[in-house]
Amino acid sequence: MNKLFSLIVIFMFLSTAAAAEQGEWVEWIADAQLSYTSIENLNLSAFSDDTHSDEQLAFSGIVGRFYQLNGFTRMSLTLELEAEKYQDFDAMDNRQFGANFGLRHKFGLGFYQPYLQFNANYRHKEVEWDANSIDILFSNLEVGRHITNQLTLAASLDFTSTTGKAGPVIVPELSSDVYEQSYIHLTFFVDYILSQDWLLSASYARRQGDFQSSCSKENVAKVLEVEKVSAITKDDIFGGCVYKLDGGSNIYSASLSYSLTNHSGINFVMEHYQGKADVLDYHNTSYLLSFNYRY
Amino acid sequence: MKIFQFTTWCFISLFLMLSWFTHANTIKVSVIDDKKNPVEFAVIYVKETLPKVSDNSVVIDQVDKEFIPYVTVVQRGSAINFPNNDEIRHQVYSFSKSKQFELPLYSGNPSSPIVFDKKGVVAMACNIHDWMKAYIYVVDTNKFTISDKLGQAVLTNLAKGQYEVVVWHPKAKGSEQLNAQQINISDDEQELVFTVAQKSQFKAWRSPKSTMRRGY
Repeated sequence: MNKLFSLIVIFMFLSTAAAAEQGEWVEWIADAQLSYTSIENLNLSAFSDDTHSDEQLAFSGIVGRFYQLNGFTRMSLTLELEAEKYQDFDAMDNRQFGANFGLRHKFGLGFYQPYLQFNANYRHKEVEWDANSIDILFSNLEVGRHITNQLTLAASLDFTSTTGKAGPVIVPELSSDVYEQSYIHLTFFVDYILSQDWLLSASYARRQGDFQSSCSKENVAKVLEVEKVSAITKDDIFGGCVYKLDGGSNIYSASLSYSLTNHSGINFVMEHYQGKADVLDYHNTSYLLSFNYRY
Repeated sequence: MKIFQFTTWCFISLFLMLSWFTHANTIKVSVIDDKKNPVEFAVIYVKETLPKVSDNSVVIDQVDKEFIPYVTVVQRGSAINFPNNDEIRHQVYSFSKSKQFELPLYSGNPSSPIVFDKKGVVAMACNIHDWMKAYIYVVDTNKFTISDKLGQAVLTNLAKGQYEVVVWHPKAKGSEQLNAQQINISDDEQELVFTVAQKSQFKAWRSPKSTMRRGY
């Protein structure tokens, strides 16, 4: 699967570059984000007596360049770095590095022409507690359009697959490869410019596929009783078990952005995750404040 | 010697008389919105119909992925140059009734300027960078100016007489007639204040947004 994914990306990259007679490398990409996030129910536990909250400081940087194929299509290649530091659960501290290939096509000349964007992304997440380190393959297809000079709508279909080390087997009849996951997001985005300096954004995502949850040893029996758990292993971060199951989730997000300059801004993002497997509900909320810079 | 003094006196008198007859007046204009905030980039011009000119000295630059200036006013017949001083390519276009044009993906200087020979508003943009937007206002007069950050502008070289002064702005609500005033130029300097109601019209968002990852 991963090899096929890589081959598709390489093929798209080479074919688009070869097809561009007037192609030219254009602007550099250099983005940076410094953020503080407060996360409620970090372990995504289904049990209210078993939730953990924490605060996270993160820095991410993206460098790359656009390749302009013609007046309507551009390609981007970027390298991404990210580091996350947790206040209490420092075993979750992690460093990530990856690469992204993007291809964006605008359907004609003009502000109101729709666009189609494809992204293929690989990322390695190296967690302080090494058992949680994973590789992430992500691809998405996004379509969007300016509806008015203030309103922009977009929709995106994302495919994600993660691979990680299997943990110790703790339930003999169940797999322990909790970090082998695949899931899909279908997301709808709305951007509304309140004034030239203020932007209000909202999104709704329907997520379908594998997800993981951690809970205490005491609650594991309840989970195994009512849910179709596909993998389970020991969780040394929260001191219980971490298990994988299949389910659907709704993810609601709202953000308010303030433009400091053409190249920098402050963003406040609130996101609520509402997941459900067969019986249990999984909720999580996060609040993020970030400073962003774009070259 | 007396002849010399007399000749000098005659010249001075003649100069003063000519200055009196051809005296150039000015109008100071302030443009504010309905909340009394100064309005920058308002075009202020005298309504009259002069023949078109052939001026090709006007420039609309592209720097740091923005058009500079945001608003340009020219007399009908003027040609505008669109140099691209970014190290990347831009694709400039306009669908406006007054002038439709396209400068396909280019860097440096286009081979020839574009002539604007129809009066009215020309809204232009870049097809690569959606936030890049600018306006050209084509008028039939050579008496025009643009307000600064303080909403101030000065119309100069006006002979005595009756004028209609009009204000236009990209965000102005309503017709031009709502933003016009009659003025009788008789003194050296007069002041006009225009209140221009503004509609919500913004450039596409440019600043970076959060890249918070979604879901788990």
